[in-house]
Amino acid sequence: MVATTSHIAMCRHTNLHGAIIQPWHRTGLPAPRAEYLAMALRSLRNLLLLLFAPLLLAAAGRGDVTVTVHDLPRMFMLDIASKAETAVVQAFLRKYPQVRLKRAAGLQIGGGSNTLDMIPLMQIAGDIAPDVLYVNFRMSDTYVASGFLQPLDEYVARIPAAEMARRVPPSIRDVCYRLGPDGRMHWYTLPTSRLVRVLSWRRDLFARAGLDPDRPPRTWDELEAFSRKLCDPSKNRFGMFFIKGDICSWDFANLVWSRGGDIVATDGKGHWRPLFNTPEAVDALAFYVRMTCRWFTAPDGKRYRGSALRDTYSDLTTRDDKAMMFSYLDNRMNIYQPEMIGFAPAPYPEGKGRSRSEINAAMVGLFAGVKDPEQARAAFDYMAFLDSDEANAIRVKVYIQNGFGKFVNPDLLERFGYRDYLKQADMEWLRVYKDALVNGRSEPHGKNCSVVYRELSKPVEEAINDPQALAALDRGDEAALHARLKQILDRAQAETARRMYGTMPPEMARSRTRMAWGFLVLAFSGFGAATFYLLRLFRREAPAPMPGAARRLMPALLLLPAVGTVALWQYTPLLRGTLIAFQDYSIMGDARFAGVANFSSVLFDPGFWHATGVTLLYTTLYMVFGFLSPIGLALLLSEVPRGKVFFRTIFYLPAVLSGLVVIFLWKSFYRPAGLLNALLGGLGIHVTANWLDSPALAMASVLLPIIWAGMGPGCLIYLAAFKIIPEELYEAAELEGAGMRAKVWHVTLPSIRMLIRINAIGAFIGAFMSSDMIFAMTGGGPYTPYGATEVVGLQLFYTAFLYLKFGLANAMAWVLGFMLLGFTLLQLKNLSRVQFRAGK
Amino acid sequence: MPILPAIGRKSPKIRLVIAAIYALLILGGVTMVYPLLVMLSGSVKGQADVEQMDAFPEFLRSPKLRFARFMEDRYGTLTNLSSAYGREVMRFAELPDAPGAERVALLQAFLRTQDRPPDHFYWPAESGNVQSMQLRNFRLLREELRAECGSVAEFNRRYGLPITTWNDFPGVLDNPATKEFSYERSALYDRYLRFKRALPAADRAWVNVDGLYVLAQEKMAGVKSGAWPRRSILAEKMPPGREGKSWAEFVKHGLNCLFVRLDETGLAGFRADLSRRFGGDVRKMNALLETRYASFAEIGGTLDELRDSALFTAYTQYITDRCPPERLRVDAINTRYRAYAAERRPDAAQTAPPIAAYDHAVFEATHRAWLTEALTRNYRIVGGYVTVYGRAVLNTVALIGLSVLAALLVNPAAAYALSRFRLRNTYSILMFFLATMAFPGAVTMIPNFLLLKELHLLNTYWALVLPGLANGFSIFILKGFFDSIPQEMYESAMLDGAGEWVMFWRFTMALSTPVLALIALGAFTSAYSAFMFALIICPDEKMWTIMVWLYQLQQTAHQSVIFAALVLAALPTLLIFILAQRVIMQGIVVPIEK
Repeated sequence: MVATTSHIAMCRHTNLHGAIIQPWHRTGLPAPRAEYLAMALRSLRNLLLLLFAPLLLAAAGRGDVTVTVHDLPRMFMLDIASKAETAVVQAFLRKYPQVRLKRAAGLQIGGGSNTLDMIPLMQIAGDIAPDVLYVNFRMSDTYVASGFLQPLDEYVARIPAAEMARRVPPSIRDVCYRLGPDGRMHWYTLPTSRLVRVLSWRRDLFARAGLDPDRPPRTWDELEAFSRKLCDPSKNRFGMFFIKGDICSWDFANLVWSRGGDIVATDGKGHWRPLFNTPEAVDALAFYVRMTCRWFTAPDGKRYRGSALRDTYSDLTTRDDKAMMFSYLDNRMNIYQPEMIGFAPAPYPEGKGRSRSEINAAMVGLFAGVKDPEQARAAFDYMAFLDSDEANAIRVKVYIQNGFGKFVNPDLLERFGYRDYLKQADMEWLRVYKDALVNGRSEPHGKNCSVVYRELSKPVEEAINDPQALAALDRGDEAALHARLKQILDRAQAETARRMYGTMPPEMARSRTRMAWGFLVLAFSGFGAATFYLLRLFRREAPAPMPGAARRLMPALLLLPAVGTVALWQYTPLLRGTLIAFQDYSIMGDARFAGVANFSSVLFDPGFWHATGVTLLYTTLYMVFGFLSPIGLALLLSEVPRGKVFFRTIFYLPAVLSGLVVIFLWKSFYRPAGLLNALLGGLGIHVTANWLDSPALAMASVLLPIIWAGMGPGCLIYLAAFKIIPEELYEAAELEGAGMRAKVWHVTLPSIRMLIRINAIGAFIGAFMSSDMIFAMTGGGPYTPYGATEVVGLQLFYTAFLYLKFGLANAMAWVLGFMLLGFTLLQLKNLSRVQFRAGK
Repeated sequence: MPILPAIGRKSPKIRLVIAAIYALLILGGVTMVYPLLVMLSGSVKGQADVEQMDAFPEFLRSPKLRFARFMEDRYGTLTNLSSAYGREVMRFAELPDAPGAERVALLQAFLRTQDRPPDHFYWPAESGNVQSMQLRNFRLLREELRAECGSVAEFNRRYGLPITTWNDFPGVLDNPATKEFSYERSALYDRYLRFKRALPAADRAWVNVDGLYVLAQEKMAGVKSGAWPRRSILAEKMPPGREGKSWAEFVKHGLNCLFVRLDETGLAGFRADLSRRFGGDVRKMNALLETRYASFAEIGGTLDELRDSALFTAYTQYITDRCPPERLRVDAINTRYRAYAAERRPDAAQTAPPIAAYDHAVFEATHRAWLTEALTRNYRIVGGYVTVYGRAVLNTVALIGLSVLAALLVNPAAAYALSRFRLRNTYSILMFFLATMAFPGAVTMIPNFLLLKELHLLNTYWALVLPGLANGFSIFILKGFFDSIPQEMYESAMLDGAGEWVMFWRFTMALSTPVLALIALGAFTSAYSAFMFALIICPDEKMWTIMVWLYQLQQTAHQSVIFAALVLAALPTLLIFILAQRVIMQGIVVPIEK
């Protein structure tokens, strides 16, 4: 799970300027003798020269090679990591003066790991992929199997064996050197840094809670005891931190490993299968449930559930709300203050396991689209340079020159001749790093492993929300808890195996294909009948041709741009999508015809039908609250004696905020220490949970901001509609003695009947397909085991861009379109019967 | 107010209803305004209070937090701030009490005598540039350079830097509190030092070597074990006894050698050391260290000489590795202060200068100016950031202009054709426009993207404008609206001999201004706020709009800068809504049954 914010902060530095960094020649400096080299290097002038030497003097000679890379350091940032990486890139350019580097087009999008994985895919599909790709463990197989990467064998052969051994330790060798689509073993990636994921803790918070700031928990029991000691929910302080959502298994996997188990198994021939329901996994899950759900008494005397905080990722240093978490540790530089943050081996269950952590690496690979050998060589030179001795020496030097000597690996200090700094170096983290590397497990990186974390997160979320499991936990009935957790994991195992490798008896497959054909016949005749019906309906209602409208050319000319646009940009993609629905479509361009397989998969996927149920619930709730609230607001606004424009403006405010702000704000309101819990606390109800994590509240919590933000803009049209209701109608009603309620029911609403009908159907169709806001708020979770907020639109998005099954996604879109056929028909029929009146 | 009865408004029941309406609206209004206030309040925050979500910034109320913010700006990093206090400060918001407040007057009096202190005795306050938080003196320096150079190219020529816009200006490294820091001779540094020396006295944040010493002792094994005593001040000369051990350890290995001077014997030793290393040949030394000495005896070890970084490196090596510690003299604001105090207040002669308390006095004196800066800073940063990308403003205007123009041409034209000419297949065409609403956008995303690629439209405005050129629903509404224009007008116009174009422009369009305004607003909003798709289909930054740049800024900027960016980004939409509210309300068309 490398592509998280933490890791990006640690290893990747976006170049914001996208400029071509040109090679340059150092000028005007006397060649220093070896004796004085070290001395001269320590001077700041040289650093500045490295950073800003006359790049402009560079001669743009012929035969230059431009290499596009996924990312370049920000040249002008003054933070230490950027500075070091900049110096490395500059040194590369000096060494290879004919090479120019260019950052890949577009920019990195923060947020969920899912979006991050999507961008390179779009780039590859659009032929704008960088020559040097960033590859993480879990996507590595997808990249290799889809043919995105080209083998590096001939280049790797030129690197001395000892050097390769340093770069690629045995623990990650099988990630870099693996079976290609041609059935042979190849080098596909090179690591640029090697990481382990160990326990980190805040010394100051330990001291504040009366714990020894230098003594981390070693066992699971200690971890829980420490976590409880550190936890004070009323002050928004928690002990251990676990990441939540569809990547929560990232932390859970670390527990399984420390218990001695694993989450995937391989047969050594490249076949991987999920391994979710082992006794070790059950133990680990029981511990996870204990950490997050067991009742305990906090310092304020109140009882709370769970001493661990489950939240979205944030650094251990930015907030004081957590004292311990699993963090990546680099073997070269540590970016944390040793006085504040300690690193320790991952705790393990006493007598039942040993400390084990995830091993990971940031890797780069060579894009398969690079055909020119010269360019490929230049790209590889760059890839290899990033982790060369030369580059590491530069990094260490920059760290030292800027006073960050204590953050550097003591081994490197010694190797590059900075013994002076060994005194300040922190030996502790290096020891922890080495231990973790010996005992660690590398992040899953086999076939389909890109989705293992997501699949494993579902039973974890289910477990901590399962009433039966929680009841057993509260009773202290370990056996019952384990039995229930085993059940949950069993089901997840079966479900994942089916989803990842769906195999079924041929008889069943045949019957499903028949059913899919049946559906398709039904669907297409439905669409056909609908079109026919509408055409007839409209023909009947078609106006009489304008007398004397002989000029046929004029209307055709006027219509052409609009018709052309819609045909080209809406129908062509739709038709293309339809074609894809019958294909096993690959992003690299080869598509095999797959018959109706995609449709039968969709129709017999329980997950899809569950998502449909969720969609119906979402749509119903939206119709009741989201659709009706603007009408109510409009009624209030039209009746308010004074300040109508003022209030109208106020309620419109959310619409001027960017959608990002709305999401950001509401997510912070739902946080354990957010506004809503604070308000509840004021009423005497103490809640420490995040609203979005509760299966019962998640749906309502997702809807609330949507309704809130949609009220003001939505009410405008009703306000306009109320105005064109003739006053006489009300006067007549009043004369007949109608009260206020009667006037609303019998005058106001009937007068805008058509508007309400059209808006209602429009809102229904819109809500049925919506996914953006849900994606940003919950990502479809919490999972119990199906996502409580995973609507079809979102599932479609995941199917296309996370599971890369475009054929399946398009088939889903057609099924969705078929479900909405009736409503679409109704809407078009309504529209055929309206005329418009402007407001006043 | 047609629903509320016209008569009997004073009756208690109606009054209650009106009161209830107000209550509901006010309650709802509060929920609408509150997040906006949180955003406004968040846009004026700093590191110390960024985590607090409040509708009214806490630091405006709390003097303590205000001072914490001031110190954050003044020192930039926790390490530097810790040295000012002489103890580890873990968070900007949790400042310890400043010690020695009663001696501030003495320090002030002393500092008034220091009109030209050595450059390394202080940092410029408020000169940080972390996460795009460009503080006052950083911006000031940049502005001065900008005014002097005129253009980026001229700046690059004068100072040998390769920046592409003023946003790239990196500032200058100046942190004499770290051991590794050194000044150097370069055009940019010369210019920077000129800037630094011209700063008002209040903007000098003094390097507290006593504080550095206290912090360093925490990590010395000898002090930890109790073998060496803890000291709170760093004496000028090596103290006798066990104290001397930690003093020498710190002065040799922990303190930047700019603060360490050599006595006569020490200086002679330094000359001899250099002479030995270069075999007595001063020309050899000049060649390697880029110095211009006629003889080794000329080497004076003055601060000006030490700006030659190679010589300074040699100086540092001599002090660290070879010089006997009793030859070393510490020279910093602390030692000079103690010498000054010895003559006037002997009781203060053995104390550390109350730097943090002095900072507090500066804070009290310059409070108002700082507050203005704190409240406007992020907005100035964002404003400066965007205006530097002049092309972004142009792009935004061009894109919005194209989108609005296209929406106002293509849609009305089609609607006019459908309405005016009453084609036989009017409704088939309308259906053609509307029927795609049943399909989710996610499926067409990939084919759409492929299409753009095949038509070679990536990285052009057209990629942003063309796909959205026609909007089925707009056409439908416009058609409905055009239908309501009385036919007689057209007939009489035709009798007058008016052509189709004239009728289209003069009647139809002129009569539909409000509807068109609404459609234009829609086109404006979507063009102005589009950035996600813009990222994928327009990766070339020359084509980026303001929104894309702001999104870009968000990736790395501090949260308060982001909030300021969001507030500024919301302004155009808000202004347009407020100003055009009436037209918009008129432009809304309501469907009614035929």
